[in-house]
Order: sequence, then C-alpha cells, then structure tokens
Amino acid sequence: MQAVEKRFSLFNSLAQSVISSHDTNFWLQKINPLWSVNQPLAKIVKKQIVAKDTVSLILECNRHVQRGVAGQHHPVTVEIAGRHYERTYSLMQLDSAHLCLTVKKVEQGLVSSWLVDQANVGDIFRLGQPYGDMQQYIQTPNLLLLAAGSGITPMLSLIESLSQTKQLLKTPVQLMYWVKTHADAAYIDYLKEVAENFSNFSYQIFYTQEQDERLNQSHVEQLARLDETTVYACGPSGFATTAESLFKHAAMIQSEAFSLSQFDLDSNETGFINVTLTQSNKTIAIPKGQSILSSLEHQGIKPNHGCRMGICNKCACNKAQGSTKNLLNGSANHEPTQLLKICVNSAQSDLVIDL
Amino acid sequence: MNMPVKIEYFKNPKNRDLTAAELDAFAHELDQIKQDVLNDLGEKDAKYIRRVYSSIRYTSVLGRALLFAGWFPPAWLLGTGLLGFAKIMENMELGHNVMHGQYDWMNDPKFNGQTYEWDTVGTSDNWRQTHNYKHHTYTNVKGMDDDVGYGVFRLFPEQRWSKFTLIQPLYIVPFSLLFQWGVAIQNLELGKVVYKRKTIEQFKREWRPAQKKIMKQMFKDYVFFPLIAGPSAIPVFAGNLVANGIRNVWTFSIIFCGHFTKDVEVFPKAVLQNESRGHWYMRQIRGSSNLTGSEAFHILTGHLSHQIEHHLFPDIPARRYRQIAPKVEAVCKKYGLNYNNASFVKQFGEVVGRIFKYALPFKK
Repeated sequence: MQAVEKRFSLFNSLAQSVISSHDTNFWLQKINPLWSVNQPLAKIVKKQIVAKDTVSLILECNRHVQRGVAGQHHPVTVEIAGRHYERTYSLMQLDSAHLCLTVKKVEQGLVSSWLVDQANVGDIFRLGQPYGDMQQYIQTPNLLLLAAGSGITPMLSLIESLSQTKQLLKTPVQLMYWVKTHADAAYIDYLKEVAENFSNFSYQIFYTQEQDERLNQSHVEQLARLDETTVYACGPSGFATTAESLFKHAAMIQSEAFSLSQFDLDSNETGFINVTLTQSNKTIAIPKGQSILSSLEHQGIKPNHGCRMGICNKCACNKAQGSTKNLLNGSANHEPTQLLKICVNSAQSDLVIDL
Repeated sequence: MNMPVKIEYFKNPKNRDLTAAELDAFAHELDQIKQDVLNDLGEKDAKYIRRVYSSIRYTSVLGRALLFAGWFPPAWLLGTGLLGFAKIMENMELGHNVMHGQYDWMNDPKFNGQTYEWDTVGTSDNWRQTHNYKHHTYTNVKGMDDDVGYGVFRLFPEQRWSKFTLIQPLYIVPFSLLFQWGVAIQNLELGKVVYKRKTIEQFKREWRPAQKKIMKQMFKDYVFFPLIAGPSAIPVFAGNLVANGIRNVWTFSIIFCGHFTKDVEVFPKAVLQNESRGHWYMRQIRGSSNLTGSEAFHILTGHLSHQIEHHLFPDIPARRYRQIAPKVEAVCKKYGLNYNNASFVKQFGEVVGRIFKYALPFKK
C-alpha cells in the first residue's frame, strides 16, 4: 500500500513539475468555469428575491464542495473589484448538486450588498470547509428554533433537512422568527408549506416594528416541557445572549451570533489582545498598538521574518480572523483570510494567525 | 606587517549630503507617493496581472506546440522565441513581482507572495531570502548584499582585487548564459563551505530543496517535453535550452543594469547603524539605476527598468512604477539626488566598462 502511495506521489510530483494545479485549473476553466482539480467552486444558476433586501442564490457545485450537515456554515469567497473577500453563510442543501445561499443586505456590508445587488447568474464563488455545531441530530423529544433577521438561514436548512429525512414525522419542531416588518420576513410560503405537510411543525413570526415584542420571558412561558427541548438560536449577538439566558433551563441550548458591529472598534491603543497561533496551537496575549512580530518575539516565539520594516514580505502570514492596523500608514484591515506583514502591523482585536 | 587596509568608500558628487531633518522630510514625500498608489489599488491592477498570467499560459503552450514541428526551421525559431518570451514574462513581470507581495491585497491564492513558485531552477524560498530580504533591505551594502558582484565579480573599487578578477571579462559570458543557476545556488553560499565557515551537514540540509527544484525543472524541459515530442525530441530539447538561455541573458542584462552602472554607489556596513527611513530611501536611489524605453520594453523587464521605484517601493504593483516615476524624479531633484536614468545601450555599456576596468587593480 505504501509503495502504491509512494508511486502515486512521485507521479503527482512529476505531473506538478510539468503543469501546476493553477495552470491545470486555468485551462479547465476555459472549458467550464466550474471545473478544477482542487478548488471547491459553485456557480449561481438562479437568483430570486425572497424578502426585502434579501435574495436566495441557487448554486451549482463542483465535486470538491463539501456539503456539511444542515445548520452548518460555509466560508464563501467572492471576488469584488479584483479583490477576494471571504464571508460565512449558512447554505441549504437542495439536492446532490445544488445549494441555496440566502443573504440579507447589511448596511455597509460590502459582500452582502454585492451579493444582493450585483451578483449575477453565472458568477463563480469559492467555498470553504463547512463548520458549526447546530446539527440536526436531536436527542430530546422536542426542538425549538429561535431566529432573528438573517439568523433564519441555518434554521431553514435544518427544517429542510428534517423534512427531507422525514424526521419531522417524529419530532415536534417549533420555530419563532423575529423580523422588523412584514417586508423583511423571508420564506413565509415555504414555512407555510412545511406546516401544512407536517402537523409536527409550527411557526410564529414576530414583527418588532409592528408592535410585536422582542424575545422575552413571556415567550418562554408559552412553552411546555422545556426540560425535554433542544433550543437552537441564531441572530445578532444581543439576541443570542438573551436566548442563552432565557432558555438556560432547556435540555440543551445552542446559540450562534453574527456580529453587525465589526467596525465599531475599540479605538483605545492600550491594553492586551489575544493572538491565537494555529500552527503552534498557542494563544498569547500581546500589547495593542505594537508590532505583532516584536511582541511575539518578546514572548519567546520566533516567527520567520526579514527586514522588520515592511518591505521584504518574508514575515507575511495568513491572518484567519481579526482586525489589524498598519503601523506605517495607519490603515486598518478587518478582512478574514488576508496576508499580513506581522513586522509592521499591530493587533486591534483578538487575532487568529497561521503561525 | 599585515595592517588591515581601510577601505575608502567613494561618494558620487552628483548626490548632495542631506541632514537628518531633510531625510525625514524626504521620506515623508516618498511615503505620500506610495500612499497615493495604495489608495488607488483595485480592479485595474487585478485585471492587468490576470492578463499577464493568461498571456504567459497562451504563449508558452503555443511555443511548445510550435517546437513539436521543430524540424521546420521557422516553426523552431518562432516556438523558441515564444517560449523564451513566456519564461521572461513569468520570471520577471509575474513571479518576481508576485513574490514581493505586490498582489497580496487581491487575496487570490494564485498570486500569493508566500506560496508562488516560479519557472526557474532556483527555489522561491531561497529567492525570498537572498533577494527580497537581503538584497532589498541591505541594497549595495558591501558584505551584506550578496548581489554586489555575486561573490565572483569585482565591479567597484571598494571590492578586493585578486588575480582571478583579471579574467572576469571572460567568465561573465558563461555566467550570463547560466544566470538562473547562479541565482539558484546563491543562497547556498558555496564559498563558506570551501572556507569551512559552514558545515557540510548544514549545506546538505539546504541543498535538498534546491536539488528537488532543479530536478523538477530539468525533468520538464529536458525529459518530459522532448519525450512526448517523439521524432521532434531533438528540436524540442534544443528549443527549451535556447529559450532558457534567452531568458538567462535577458534577466542578467537587466539586473546588472539596475545596480552596476557608472554612477551607482556601494556603502559600508556602518550606514546600517540606526539608519533612518529617509536614509534607507536615499541609499536605494543612490544604489540603483533606471532604463528608459517604451511601454513594451518596461513590461518585458518586469518593470525592473524602473529599478529606483522598485527599490523604494518593492511591494506595490510594478505597473505603477511607470506612473509614479515623474513624481519620484521630481523629489530626487528637489533634494539634490541623482536620478540615474538612461537608455539600455548606455547603461549596459557602463556595466561592461566596470567589468573591464575593475578586472584590473584600479583603486578608484
């Protein structure tokens, strides 16, 4: 077996020396933009408006796309004006070759605005490995889903998956869904249809700008047998925190929050920041406002580096997450997955870097 | 009595001495030129580098296809020329610039400065060490920047003369033809092994990745393509050899014109002590020289014809050097620094002049 693998890797390395995978992809994509030897790619085949400022994109996937399970999220990379941007969305599985991406335009949201306003049928995305803990395997008799705004998207894929696997015949599922106005509610027809097909499924929609109440104790009191219920909640961070505390007596509560305020950074230049180094599996506190490279060296870590003045690019490494500030020109960077010169950048929020 | 000889460093009178305050102001003006470019980076630059990438793929495939008909002389000539062109563009306008991180802002894995591997026998990792770090940080500092004579040429009076130097006008010819090999082994510092300043074990460790890259390149150009060409194996082999040679001579010529023309200076290590950003910028200008020419010429040199702009701002997309050159020249003029810019013929003539002159023990 080892010999076979060895021969295979020798073949691979010889093949790579003749034509690299980037080149192979270049030629394959001249024929079909979805073809690739290694990249998980998806193409928009249909775009529909499902609520105010909200669209659903039907994506055709190539064989490298990992589907994940319902309720998980995919990193989605899109290209806007020459730059690649990565964001995380929850995708709904439609059939073996198609996924559905539902996205709501966020104010000042570069990618969400682009997806809603500019993305067209035929555009190509790169997808990453799916992740996330909200999964359809439920151990309690009841399931309660709490969604606010675009927090509905992982719930939709859960509901779809539960109905496809007929688990909805056994498990009672209740959805509570908060939106601002009637125009903001997405997939109403779909929810109605599921409720008609499965007597176990029920849903309520709350319109907060039309006199309905936000999530509070009264919603908890409506429910029977909380101790036999798994609760999933998804929405803005305030919503998720409220859900966690209100439903702490449930058999299980799992919440996921998305942040709308990533740009409201703490402008304070003092204090400490946690830097997670993925390759060495360490988390280290370093001072804000100072070169990441020198701060790490101060803690006995020796990252690869060269000039220490931002010109040679030897120290550049991938920042998976977090905000940084360039010490030379003061420019800030909040993008996930971005090459970062650690010698001339300081940490502004907790960071995850591939070192 | 073996007294250590104090080396005299010559300053070019065309460059004015600047005070610390002037250097700070000077740095500030250059920073501003860079910032204007950074603020404007976007779709145009992305489109440009993708077009460069595509044209390299098309010309190399066309060139290799024509070489398959290589027994027919015009096909061989055109095929070899196209392949040479593709290799020049890949090494200079794409590989060299991408590895400087010029396109990292695009976030496209294809143009990632840390993972890009280029079509030459030297490994990208070695290049990032000898070129990106040592050469660009310590530009023209004797004893720090190995590109000053590449350890085998005496091009400045500050360098030591030996009998071996006498024949440098002869060995410059094979050196230029095999330039990619010189670049490939530069970081291995064979001299240190000979003089026992580096252990054999360390050398072996460094040799392994270099060997792997060399094998890959040799396999591609001299085994795989000749073999699949069947009856055209010989013209394919010869075409690949000549295409690599064309690329070698071209890159050699452009690179030597960038730092070894008449007005260029070298510096002692002492300048690195607490060097200010302004002084670093000034050293880049005094240690580099530009070439004048058409847009096509600049692209074919990977914009190393704008060596001065490249050394000031190695990490901005090279196509921008042309655009900022007048601003940089104006700043140089304002601060009394020589903006060394002339035609390829003139600059190359000066390089040849240095090769001949300093083959002899001239002290200035």
